[in-house]
Amino acid sequence: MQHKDRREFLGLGAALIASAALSSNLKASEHDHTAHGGIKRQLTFVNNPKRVLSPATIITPPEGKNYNPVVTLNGWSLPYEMKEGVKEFHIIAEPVVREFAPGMVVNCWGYNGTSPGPTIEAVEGDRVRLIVTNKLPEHTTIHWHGLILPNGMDGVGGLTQSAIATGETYVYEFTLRQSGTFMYHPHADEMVQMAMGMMGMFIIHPKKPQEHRVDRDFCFLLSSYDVAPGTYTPNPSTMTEFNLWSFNSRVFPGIDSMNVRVGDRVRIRVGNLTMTNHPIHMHGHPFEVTCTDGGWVPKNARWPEVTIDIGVGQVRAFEFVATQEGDWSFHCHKSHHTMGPMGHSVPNMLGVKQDDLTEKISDLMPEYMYMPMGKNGMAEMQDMADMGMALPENTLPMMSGQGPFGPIEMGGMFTLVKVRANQPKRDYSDPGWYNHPQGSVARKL
Amino acid sequence: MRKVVVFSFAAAVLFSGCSTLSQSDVFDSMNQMTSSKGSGELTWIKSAKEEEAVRSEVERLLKEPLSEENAVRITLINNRALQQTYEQIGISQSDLVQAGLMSNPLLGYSIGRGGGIRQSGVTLELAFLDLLWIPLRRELGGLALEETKLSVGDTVLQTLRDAKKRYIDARVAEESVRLNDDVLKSHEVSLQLATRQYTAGNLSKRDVLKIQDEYAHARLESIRLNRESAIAREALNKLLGIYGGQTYYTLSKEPLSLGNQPRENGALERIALKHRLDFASAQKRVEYAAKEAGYSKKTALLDEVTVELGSEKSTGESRINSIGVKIPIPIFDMGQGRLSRTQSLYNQSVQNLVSLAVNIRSEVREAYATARYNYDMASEYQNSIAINRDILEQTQLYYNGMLDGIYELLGDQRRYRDTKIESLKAIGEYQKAQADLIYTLGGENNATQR
Repeated sequence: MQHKDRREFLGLGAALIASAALSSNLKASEHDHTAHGGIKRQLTFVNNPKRVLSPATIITPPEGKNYNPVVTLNGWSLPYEMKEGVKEFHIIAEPVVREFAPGMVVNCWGYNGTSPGPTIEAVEGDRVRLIVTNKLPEHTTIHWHGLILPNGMDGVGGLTQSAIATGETYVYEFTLRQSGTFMYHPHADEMVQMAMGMMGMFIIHPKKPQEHRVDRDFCFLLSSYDVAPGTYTPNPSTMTEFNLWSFNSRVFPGIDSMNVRVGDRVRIRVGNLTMTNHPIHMHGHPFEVTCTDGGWVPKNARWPEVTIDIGVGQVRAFEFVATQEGDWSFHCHKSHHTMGPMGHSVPNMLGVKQDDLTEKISDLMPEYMYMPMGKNGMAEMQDMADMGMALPENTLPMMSGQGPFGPIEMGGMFTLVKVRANQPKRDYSDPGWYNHPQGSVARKL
Repeated sequence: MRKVVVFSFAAAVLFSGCSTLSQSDVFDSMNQMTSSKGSGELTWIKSAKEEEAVRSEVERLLKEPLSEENAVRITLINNRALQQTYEQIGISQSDLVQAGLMSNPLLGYSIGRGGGIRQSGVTLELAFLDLLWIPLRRELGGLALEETKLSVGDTVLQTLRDAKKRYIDARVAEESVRLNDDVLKSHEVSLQLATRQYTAGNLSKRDVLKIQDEYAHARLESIRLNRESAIAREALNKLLGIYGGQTYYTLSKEPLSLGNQPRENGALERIALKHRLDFASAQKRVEYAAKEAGYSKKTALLDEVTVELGSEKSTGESRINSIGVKIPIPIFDMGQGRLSRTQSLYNQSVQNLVSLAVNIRSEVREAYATARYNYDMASEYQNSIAINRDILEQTQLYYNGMLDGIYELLGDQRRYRDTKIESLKAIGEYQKAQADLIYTLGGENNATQR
């Protein structure tokens, strides 16, 4: 995942600078999306949203750290400064533009230039100071989901603190008394702020690095959005009819794969801040749930699974040893969640012959290349996407993504775990498609 | 005595024989006048030969798809109501000829016998003052003819306007039917799909029935439009003056275009009064009434002065020639009745003129406002068409992405067609208003004149 392409580099730069912008006069190097994919209109949700192209996964160098940093899918970890023994993090709540997949951007709210915000990583026992500045058009707070802390640091607007008004900066400071996988998100106008993508992961590593040690440690958040076709801003009032189901606000094929080496012990930490549960299923390997947001699961209480249902507001971390080489699917098992935008009231044409009406319909719309759809299922959607059939502005095809054998027909909450014998240690870059040994691929009779 | 008689006859012959304008001269002059106002050459069917020429011309014009220009052309040569008004010219012209004729002299012969005496006499009575009044009468007749010519010219321009309007109605109605055919076809496809969905178990009976009902309504609309088209065509046929096999002509399919915006013109009222033929005709009427009043005044008392020449011979006597005069004695009828009548007629014609002027000024303002706002509406529809085309384009994208279904796509295609029909009607309304404006301003070219 050490991509060197310019877009990602710019993204990283902007994100890092954004985190430093508080104390300096540096202007974030805002990336103009008009140069990318020809977005026709100015995104005007707020006057000046932070525009960075979504960074690919940014690997935090482990050098000098007493923990093995996590890898946030298509994200990054927030740098800190040591100030008199306290780890000081700067967090800016602000409108951002997130690229969900190439060709589609969304007006989000997030932290430090991205949505979800950067992962906060620290170590059990650390004293942390989280300096939160609100650049949203409305007040906010941050709740540290699952953390044991003084009540006044819990970040619930009105209950444990005043809301952070626009332009204000609040300081949260506490000592980390546990290790595990946690989240942060607003506890003020939650409906809007979470629907707009305000969330992030908070990873607390064990004090002893050898405890719960794994070779590769991935994390991401599940989030869902209702971005109507042809629009840019999620509808925050939506309760169930979401059309973008994402890992870290990215949708397949815009999500990085998790690339590991044979023999690696791998941990995947998943937080769910959508409004429904997600049975996350991995192919090829059984795994064990090792951690929830309540803490580590005792070894003798772990049980094997190939699918773990992650409830609303929950975190699950599971581990497996990568033994089986290949490209293994990894996805939410609710099939609508591996679709891109889809019409929920499209007429059911299964088994309905339409071909003989094609000419008649084409006559009515002579300038348009009409294709009958839905008779034999929706797989032809993939064909249409392949043919480059135009879609409404800023809208992804319902399912896309090409594999070595053809269309993968998946979108949304879907990615791959790529297991390779020759994947170098600490190298997260994409090894490409799996080269199957002869005779190991299903064949046509 | 002999000299007087000779002179009288000579004068009478001179005045009567003086040739007046022929009917065709007058018609030609009207032809020229209306031609310059956009009517083109008119034909007055007065003989079988002319009738045949018109028939073959109409036949020829109807062979090709009928354009507005040709519809107007056919109407102006073939419409019998219009031909009927041309006869007014003949009537007025005959009146004028009549006015130039002196009353015939009365020749009297008497014979008597008694007491051995035989007496015979010859008298010639001549309404002598006719000699004086003939020029006046001829002047009046000339004015009446002029008034008739203008009035008939106005009818020509009205007919021209009506022909244009009925032609536009017929075109809009026919084109609407054509555009609606697509809407109907689209409903048909919807119903076919819905029925198949129902058969495949994918749609409820209720939903199919709803789509079927929409189709039924579309058919009703189609029938209604066909009816309108038939009616509009008949209105045009009446003006074209055609029947039977001639009515199977086709209308041109050249798209009706919006054309130019009516130009803002502060002098419209003035232009109208200057160029309107009905106004000019009313002006002639006033002139006529004024002249007639003067004529009545002059002739009030001496209208019936008669000169009588007599020659009498009694047996044994020598012939006695006599000359006498008959003068009415104005005791009972001093002409006051005729005089006040012509006064009133004059006053009436003046009031009519003023009232007409007021009406024309209002008409022209109204016609301009109608044309101008109709133009604005028609151009708004151009925007609406563009918007609906864009909507359809967007829906096509939604359909591509399976974000919308086929029914939305067909629905928006119908909406686009419906807007086109509305727009077509608006263009028609504008063109008709423009025809009204041109007539109101007294003919072609005046609408844009400054």
